[in-house]
Amino acid sequence: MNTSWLIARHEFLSRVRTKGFIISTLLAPVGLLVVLTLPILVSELAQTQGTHRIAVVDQSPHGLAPILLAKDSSLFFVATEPTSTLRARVLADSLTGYLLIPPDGLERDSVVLFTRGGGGLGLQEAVNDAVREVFRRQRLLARGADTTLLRLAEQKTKIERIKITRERTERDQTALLTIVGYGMSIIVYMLLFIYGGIVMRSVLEEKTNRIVEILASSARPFDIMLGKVLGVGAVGLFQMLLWIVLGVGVSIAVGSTLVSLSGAPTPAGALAHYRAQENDVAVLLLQVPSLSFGHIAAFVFFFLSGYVFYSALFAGIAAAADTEQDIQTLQAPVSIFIVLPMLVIPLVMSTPDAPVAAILSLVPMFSPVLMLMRLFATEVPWWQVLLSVVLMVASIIGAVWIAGRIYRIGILRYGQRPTFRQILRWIAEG
Amino acid sequence: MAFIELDRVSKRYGAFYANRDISFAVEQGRLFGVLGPNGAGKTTLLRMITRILLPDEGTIFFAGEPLAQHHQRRIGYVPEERGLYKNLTVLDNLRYFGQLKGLSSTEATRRALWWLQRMDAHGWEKKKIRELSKGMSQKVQFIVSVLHDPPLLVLDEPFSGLDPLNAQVFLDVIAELRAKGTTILFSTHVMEQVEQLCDDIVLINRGRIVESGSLRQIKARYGIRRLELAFDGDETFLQEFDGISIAERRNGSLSIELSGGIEQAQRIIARALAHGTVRRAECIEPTLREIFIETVRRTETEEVAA
Repeated sequence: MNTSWLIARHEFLSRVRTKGFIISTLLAPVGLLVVLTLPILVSELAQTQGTHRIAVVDQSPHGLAPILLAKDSSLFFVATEPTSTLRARVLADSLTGYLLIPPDGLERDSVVLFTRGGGGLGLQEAVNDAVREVFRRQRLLARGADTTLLRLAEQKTKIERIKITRERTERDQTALLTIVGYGMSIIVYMLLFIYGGIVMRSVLEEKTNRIVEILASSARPFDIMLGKVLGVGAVGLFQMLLWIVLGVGVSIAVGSTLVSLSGAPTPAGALAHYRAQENDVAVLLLQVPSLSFGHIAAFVFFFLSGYVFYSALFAGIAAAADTEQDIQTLQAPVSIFIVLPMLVIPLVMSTPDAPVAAILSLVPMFSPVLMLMRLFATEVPWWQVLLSVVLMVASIIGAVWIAGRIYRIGILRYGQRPTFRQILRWIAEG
Repeated sequence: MAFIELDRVSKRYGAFYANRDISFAVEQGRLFGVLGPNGAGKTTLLRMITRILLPDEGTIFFAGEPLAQHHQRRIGYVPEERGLYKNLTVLDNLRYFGQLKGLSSTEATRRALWWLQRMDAHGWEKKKIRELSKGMSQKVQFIVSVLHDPPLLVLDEPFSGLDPLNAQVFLDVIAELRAKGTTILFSTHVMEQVEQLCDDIVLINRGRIVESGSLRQIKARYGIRRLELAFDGDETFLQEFDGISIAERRNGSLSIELSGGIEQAQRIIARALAHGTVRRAECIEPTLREIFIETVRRTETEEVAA
């Protein structure tokens, strides 16, 4: 145990001091931010149809063209040329298309859009939304509806969600927490691969450079493996701590900038905004989630336990391998269990209380991702949480024991890659 | 008392015995050579003595106690292939491995610097291992093994790939350690070094011991095989002797292969004195190389026969 501690400390210090660690600590949040915001940015950009222009040819007597123009002047303009000219302009690409409203268009509720095809779903949706809204209003107005009535009809009903607990009633944050939980699960999933990979590569490096023989002349193989797993795990925790500090620092800086820009305190402004657009996911993400201690503890526990479980197995695999290719082959049966929860996570997100979600989340290989997801998305019965923790701890002990046996034999074996049957025999015979 | 003793030790991989029924004792302060052709099981044997591997059968005793984990702190080991962290500096490597042997960080640093000086390697401490030549990293590897001042030093092929100058540094240090009472066990197939250095040897082939004892005893057992005779006169008298042959003739000197040991040599010299002038006569012991080759061949034919 004493030597495990020495080895863990060496692993930690020699990794934290490298340029690679500093760079990855600084760049990873940027990368994550890009991954998270890119889809939103892209769809925002897609909505501004800056380059698309559609001429409106209004043959109806209702004067619909100006109303459409008022709706979206960047997209629509009133045609002054005959359709034959418009047609030529479309073919010459100086115009995206033209919208023909027939004389009885409003009565028959139909228009025709002429384009060269393509343009994507964004363009179609923009035209659809504008035309349908304008037509609906005009139909209702034609039947004598007044504008006050129209506004009433279009008003969205606000559904305030209140969570009832034995102690008190509070605002229900289910939607927000589910999204945060999803983010946390994805982070755990990625970290399992990243840090598991670090353990695997470093075990292989020590084996191929024969360093492990020196280590084994000073410590038990099991202690060497444990020290490595714990040391790299400490690097992971340390990196996360830095990210949190970095994140809090950046959000304080950004927050104060926002306050000075808007001239209003951010939380109130954000809340007003939130009320206005109840169902907008992007807005939810901008909210600062009020996470409980339990949520943070769950994240730390499931990250750490998943990490120890998988990285111990990865260490065993690397010890059995001779080359990177060997690792690719041997790791597949382990990696698959990290990936599988990702396939069912949408199910767990939408129905976290369903029996199938509960059962899957209790399977130790899946718990780090799925139980974590459920803990954010719903109130998990206490006995399930307890059971999950017990199963997780038991599986960690099992995984470390199995990995230790593979490691002990594997590190001094060179030459042919062992078969899975041979590895099973190593485990059985020790 | 024997410092290291092996009692019917075997190591098995499946049905293959890497070591079988190995028993020998190493006295304290002796230089002990483990000899054998490639693949004989030398490395496996040394790994068991350093407790990197555990024997499947038999017992190893360290200073009278069954070898246990805590004994590793009193053993220094240089493996056959160098094992150092390439991206770390010389000093970082030495300090880490020293700490694993129980030294404090400051003590490990102090001793590392002393040893670098001793091995003509001062000023290397900030260099990364990847910048060192093979001979240089070999020195660092050796320092790893002696940093904690172990009473037992185990060296697996320590001299392979060393230039004569560096080899001499190693030999000097080994002589010093031995004078201090360190027991040194090393494997090699370079026979000349064994003859120069070793007090005792075991010769293993195919996992078994085929010869063991002090170098002196073993040579005595193999007897005198050759007579070097510088002789002026008529050499026809040699035909009186059965089972001898002239292996080499050079500058009036004869190299005679004997079949009857020292007595035969004595009789040849007596007859030579009667037939001419003997300028020089020398009974030559077999070299270790000859014993080695002969023993390995003999045991292999025995095994084939069995």
